[in-house]
Amino acid sequence: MILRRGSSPAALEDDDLLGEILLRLPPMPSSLPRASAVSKRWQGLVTDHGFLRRFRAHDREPPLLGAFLHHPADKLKFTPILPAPDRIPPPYLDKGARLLSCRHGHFLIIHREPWMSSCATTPPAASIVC
Amino acid sequence: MATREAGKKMIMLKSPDGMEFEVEEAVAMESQTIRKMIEDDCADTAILIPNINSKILSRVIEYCNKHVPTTGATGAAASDTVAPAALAEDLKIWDAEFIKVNRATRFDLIQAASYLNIKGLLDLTSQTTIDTISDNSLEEIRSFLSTKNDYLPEEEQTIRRENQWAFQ
Repeated sequence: MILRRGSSPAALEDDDLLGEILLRLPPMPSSLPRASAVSKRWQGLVTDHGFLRRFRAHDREPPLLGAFLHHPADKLKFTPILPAPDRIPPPYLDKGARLLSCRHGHFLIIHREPWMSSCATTPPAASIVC
Repeated sequence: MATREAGKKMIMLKSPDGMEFEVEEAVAMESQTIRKMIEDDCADTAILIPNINSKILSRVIEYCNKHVPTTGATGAAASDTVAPAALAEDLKIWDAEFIKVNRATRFDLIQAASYLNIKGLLDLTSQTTIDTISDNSLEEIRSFLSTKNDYLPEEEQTIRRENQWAFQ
């Protein structure tokens, strides 16, 4: 699609309105990192905690990012299923990690080394299966 | 402009450029801003809508007219007699035609929808804007939305490197 350049619309000068528009970005993993790269102002808006809360709560079906699988060699492996640019890389998980639970875009991992155990979150408005 | 119908309360909306629009109260109350003014008894016989010119206000009224829940002669809501799915489909097709406007008008409609607090119109106009840019490169997005890239080249490189997978 060819997009036209024009003067900056007043609607886009207003942070609240620009935030309203950006809330409608697709709930895909690449949406917010890409929006962050547009400008510092956009980065400030889409990394704001209030914005992220609203983005997650927006009434949309979150995508399935991939699946965590336990491998026989006591390895936990994440396999992404989305095509680029939404194919998030597998997180680094050393041997000995076990996935205890995942719910609402969060997953809980226990590791044989206590300091490696963590509760982590997937990108906003996304889900995983295990 | 709306035609007065028996039994329906009408109110006047005025744009800053002097145009007056007579609309059913129910239609005007699709705007939560106007609804609050009416419910709080702050609305006189005419309500001045600041910052929204007559061209945009007439489009907003057109949208509200289409989206206000209609009632038939028996008082039953139209949605009671027409299948909700058919009604929703009809509105979707109508919305798609309604939003075929130029860039400037669309942004004026976003501002108007926000000021008047009309959620459906804000959803429609904002989502259409996002749909327009979502498949484009960063440069094209900046160009379309007239957004200045205020990153230093090395800062932009760092952002791209941190989430390299999102830019593939």
